[in-house]
Amino acid sequence: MTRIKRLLALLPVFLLAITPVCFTSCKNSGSEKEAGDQGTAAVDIPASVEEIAVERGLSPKDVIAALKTYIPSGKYDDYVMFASGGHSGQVFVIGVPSMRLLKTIGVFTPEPWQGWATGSAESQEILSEGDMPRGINKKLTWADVHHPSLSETNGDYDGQFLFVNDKANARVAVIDLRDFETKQIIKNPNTISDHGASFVTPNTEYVIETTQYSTPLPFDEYAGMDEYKEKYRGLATFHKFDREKGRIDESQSFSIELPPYWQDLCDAGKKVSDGWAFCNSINSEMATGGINEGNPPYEAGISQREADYLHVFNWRKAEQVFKEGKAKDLNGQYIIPLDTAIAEGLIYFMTIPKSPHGVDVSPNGNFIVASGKLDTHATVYSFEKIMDAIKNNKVEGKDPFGVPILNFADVMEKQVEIGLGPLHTQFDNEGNAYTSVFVESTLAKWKLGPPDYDGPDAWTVVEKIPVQYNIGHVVCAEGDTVAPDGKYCVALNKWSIDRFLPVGPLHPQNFQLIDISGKNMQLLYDMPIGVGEPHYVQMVKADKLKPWLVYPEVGFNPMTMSVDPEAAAIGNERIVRNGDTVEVWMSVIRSHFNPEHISVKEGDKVIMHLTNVERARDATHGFAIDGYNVNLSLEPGESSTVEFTADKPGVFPFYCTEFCSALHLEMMGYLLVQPTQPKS
Amino acid sequence: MNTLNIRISYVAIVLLGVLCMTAGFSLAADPSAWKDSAVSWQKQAKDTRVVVVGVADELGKTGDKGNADVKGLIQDAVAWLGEGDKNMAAADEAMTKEDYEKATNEYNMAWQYYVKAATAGLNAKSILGGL
Repeated sequence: MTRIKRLLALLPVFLLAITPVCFTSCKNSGSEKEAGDQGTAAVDIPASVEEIAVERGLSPKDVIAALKTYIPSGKYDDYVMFASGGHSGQVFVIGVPSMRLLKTIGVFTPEPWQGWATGSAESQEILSEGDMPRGINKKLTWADVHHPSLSETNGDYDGQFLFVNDKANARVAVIDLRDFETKQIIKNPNTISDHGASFVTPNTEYVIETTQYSTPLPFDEYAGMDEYKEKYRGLATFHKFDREKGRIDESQSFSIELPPYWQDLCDAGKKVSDGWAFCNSINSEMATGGINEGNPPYEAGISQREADYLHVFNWRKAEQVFKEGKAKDLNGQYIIPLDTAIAEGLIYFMTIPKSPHGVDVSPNGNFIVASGKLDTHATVYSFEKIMDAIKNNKVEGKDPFGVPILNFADVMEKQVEIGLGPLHTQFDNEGNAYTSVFVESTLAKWKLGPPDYDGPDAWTVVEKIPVQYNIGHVVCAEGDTVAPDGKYCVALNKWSIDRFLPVGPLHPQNFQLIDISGKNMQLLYDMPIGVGEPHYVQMVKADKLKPWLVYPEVGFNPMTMSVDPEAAAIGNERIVRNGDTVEVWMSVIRSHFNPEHISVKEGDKVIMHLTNVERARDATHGFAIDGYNVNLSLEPGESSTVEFTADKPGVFPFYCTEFCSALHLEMMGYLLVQPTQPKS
Repeated sequence: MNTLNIRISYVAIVLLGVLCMTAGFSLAADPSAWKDSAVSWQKQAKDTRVVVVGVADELGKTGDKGNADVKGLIQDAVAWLGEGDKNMAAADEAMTKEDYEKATNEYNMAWQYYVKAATAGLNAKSILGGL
C-alpha cells in the first residue's frame, strides 16, 4: 500500500518526463492522422487511480507495466511485430508495446475476412502456385509457418516486403507490405520440408531456404533408409528476389546440394560478412531412427556426437558459379552439385556443440552466434577468423562428403556460458545480446566483446529474467538488423500452463513483452496466442511501414498491383452471355451492387468482375454468395474476379459481408439459377 | 529476485555445471570410440540424474500446493525419470556385456529423459514461485 502511494506520488513526474518523448513519437507515428487527434498525456493523477490499483490488487510493478504498455484510444504503437502463425498458415501483425493484434494476413490457408482463398480467382491462382509439383494429387490445406523475414536495404528493415516459409511443405511466400497481402507462393520443387527459411541477404538480393529433413532429390523419388547416406540430400536454396516486380524469380535462383544433415536455422552475413550466409544443422550422425525396429530413436541417435556442423556459404561466389552455368537443372531448379560447391569454395563447415539450433549474426556482422540445444554455451565465431582460416586452409579435416571443416580453435572467438538449452539470440544497440534459454525458461542478457563492447564484463551473462514458460525464439526491436533499437524484447514462449484462463487442454502460446531499456529487464505484458504456434517474429519501427490506406486507383488488382483491364466501373456495369458462359461486370458502392439480379442457367460458367468504387478510407465491402462458398473482400478501389459453375439450381442471395452503412443489410442481390430440367 | 528464483537459478547452475563438465569434442561416430562414448554418456546421464533427483526432492518438500498444473508437471517429471531409469538399467547391463554401442544409445536416451524431467521440474518450480 505504502509502495503504491509512493509510486503514485511519482507518477506526475514520470508522466511529465515522458510527455515530450511521447509527443514527438506520437507526432511521427501519427503523421497520417488528422490534426488534433493526438493529445499529450494528462499529468493530474486522481486519487481514484490508487483506489483502482488497490481494488485490483496491482503491485507498483504492475502499475508501471501498465503505464508502459497502455496506448490510449486513437494513438499508435511505436513498433509492429510480424509473427509467424505456425499451424494457422498465416501471419499475425501485432502492435508494440500495446500487444494489440492489428491484422491476420492470410498466406497459405484461407482467411475469409480478407477473402483470401474463399472464392477470388486471384488468391486461388497464387495459392495454386504453391501446390505440390509434377501433378502430385495432394491439395495442401494447411501450413506450418515458421520464420518471417522483412526485406532489408543495407541490412536494415525497409518495410517493403515480408517473406515467410512453410516448414511442412517447403514453401516460401512473398507478402507486399503496401497492402499487407500475399503476392506469391513458391513450392520448392525438390524438397518437401524446410526450416532455415525465410532469411534475406542484406539488400534482399536473395531469400534463403534450407531443407530440414533430408530426402532423396527430388523428394518424390524413392530410396530406403538403408540408402540414406548415398541417396538422401539437403538443399540450400537462394531465391532471387526481384524487388521491382515484388516477386521471386525462380529462373535466377539457385541451390547448393548439401549432405543429408538436417539443415536448421540460417542468417545472412551483414556489413563485413555480407556475401556470406550461415546455417546450422543437426544429425551429422546421419541417424536413421527406427525405434520400432529396435534402433535408437531419432532424439538419441541425433545427439550422439558432441558437435554438428555450422554451414558457411559464400553465396556471392555461388551466384557467380551459377551464372557460369555450373548448376544442373532438376525440375526447373538450378542446383550446384556438392562436389562443385566444395571445389569452388562455396561451402565450409565449422563444428558447433551440441544439437545446435539458432545462428545469429551480430549487428556489425563480425560475430556469428550459435547455440546448441543440449549445450550450455553460446558459441561465438569471428568472421575475421573464419576468413583467415579459409584463406590459410586451417582445417581440422573433412566431413564424409569432402566438405572442409575449419579448425574450431581457429574460428571460435568465445564460448559464453548461457544456461540450459540456449536457442536464439537477438541484439540491442548497446553491445548486449539476448539469448532465449528453453530448459531454464529464461531470457539471458549478455555482453558481446570487442569491438562491439569493450567493458570488463565482456562475454558474460549480466542478467536473466524468468519467462513463462519454455521460451523458443526471442525477438527484440529490430534486433537482427545492423541497427537494433533496444527498448523491447518479446519472449515467444511455447507453453503458457497457468498464465491464462483455461480454454480446454489446448493452451495458448504466450508472448511476453519485456522492457530492456532500463538497468534491469522488466516483464510488462502477457499476450496469449490461440491460433497456432508462432515461431520467429520480427519487430520493425512502425514508421518504416508505408501501407496504402486505400488502393491507389479504382479497379486495382492486388495480384498484378495495377489497374485490371477487366475491372468494372460506374456506368459500364453489364451482364454478357457468350454460349454457356455468363460474364458480369459489377460495381460495388454503399449500399448497393449493380447489377442486383443475375440470372443464369444451371451449368453455366459464371465469371464476375467486381470493383469497389469507393475512395473513402475503410469503406470495405464484402461479397458473399450463399451456398456457393464464395466470399470476397473488396477494399476501396479493389477489383476482384470470381469464377464458378452454377451447378446448383435455385435462388441464392448475395450480400455485403461488411457492415458498411446504415443500409448495409439492404446491400444485396439475387443469383437466380434456372434449372435445366424442371423438377418432377 | 525472490527466493524461489534464486533456487531455480541454483538448480540451473548445477545442471549447467553438469553439462559443462561433460561437454567436449570427443566424437562418437567412429566405432572404435564407442567405449569412450559410453563412459562419457554414462557420466553425463548419472550426473544429470543426480540433479533431477535434487529438483524432485525440493518439489517433494514443497508439494504441489494443490495446483493442478504443478501436479501434472511433477507427474510428468516422475514419469520421465522412470523412463530414464529404464534406459539406465539397460545401459548398465550393456556395459557389463561390453556392448558399448548399445550402452551409448541407452545412456544417451536416459539423459534425454532426464533433461525432460528437469524441464518439467523447473516449470513446476516456476509456477510454485508465482503462487
